[in-house]
Amino acid sequence: MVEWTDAERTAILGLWGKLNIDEIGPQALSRCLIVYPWTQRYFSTFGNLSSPAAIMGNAKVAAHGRTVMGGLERAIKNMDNIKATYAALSVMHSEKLHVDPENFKLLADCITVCAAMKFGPSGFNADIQEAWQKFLSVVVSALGRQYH
Amino acid sequence: MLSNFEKELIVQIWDKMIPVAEDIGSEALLRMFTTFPKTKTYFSHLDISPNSDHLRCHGKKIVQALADGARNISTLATTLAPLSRFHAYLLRIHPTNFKLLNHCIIVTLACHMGDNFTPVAHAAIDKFLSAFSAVLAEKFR
Repeated sequence: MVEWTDAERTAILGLWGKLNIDEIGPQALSRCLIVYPWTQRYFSTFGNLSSPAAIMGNAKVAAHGRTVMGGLERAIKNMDNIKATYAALSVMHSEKLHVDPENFKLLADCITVCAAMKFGPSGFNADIQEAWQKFLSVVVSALGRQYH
Repeated sequence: MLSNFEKELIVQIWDKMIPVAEDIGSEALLRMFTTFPKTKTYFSHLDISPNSDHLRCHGKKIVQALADGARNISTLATTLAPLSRFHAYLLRIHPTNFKLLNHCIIVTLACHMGDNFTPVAHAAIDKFLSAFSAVLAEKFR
């Protein structure tokens, strides 16, 4: 069972409250596909991913970025039970999508970088970063939990 | 693999960091110590509390070494040979920790550069930091 301190809960929920998930979802996913190009392997049906500009302008990437943030919202609303909340999603990523769970960390890092860019050194200070990354690592772990 | 465009971009970014080396370096270290507490085990001999002299001094050294590497990307192995020996034989840091500091350097740059930390800049810096760490870890065994 993950233990959240009051400070961590406040930091995570505070940050989430200030995020525009329709903005950060597309930004983070397109960043992931650009910075870690091997992740494009899972998006062969998404059309033109041939350049950073193409990726950033790709409507399917943007839509999927918003879907991912919707998934993250479920974790935010169930912070004390992320593992159970994500059980079906984990099975899907393993059995249907066949995503190497190592890649979840990369997308999580891109979400973190986008938050850092938006909120700057005081809005995204070291303590907020720690809490946010702890949250994302729980999410990443839950997503990889049902792989066998 | 870094293109010539990326190499120039990396030099531009690190040149801007040199005047604020203490701020950027100490912030990256503080982020690393806060987010990944096990990294503190290598610094029991220093005062690494926020804004301490040790933290600022150490942060500055790291940023200056990175700026030096940025200006000598094609000859990283030669340029970093002394640092490489130092990390292998004296510091003996577990190699997974390089990624943790690299990540926190990237987060620090993202905080300070905002929208200027484009995906292309991010990719270039990530590749540079990976190459730099690989050289530092080269002599480990």
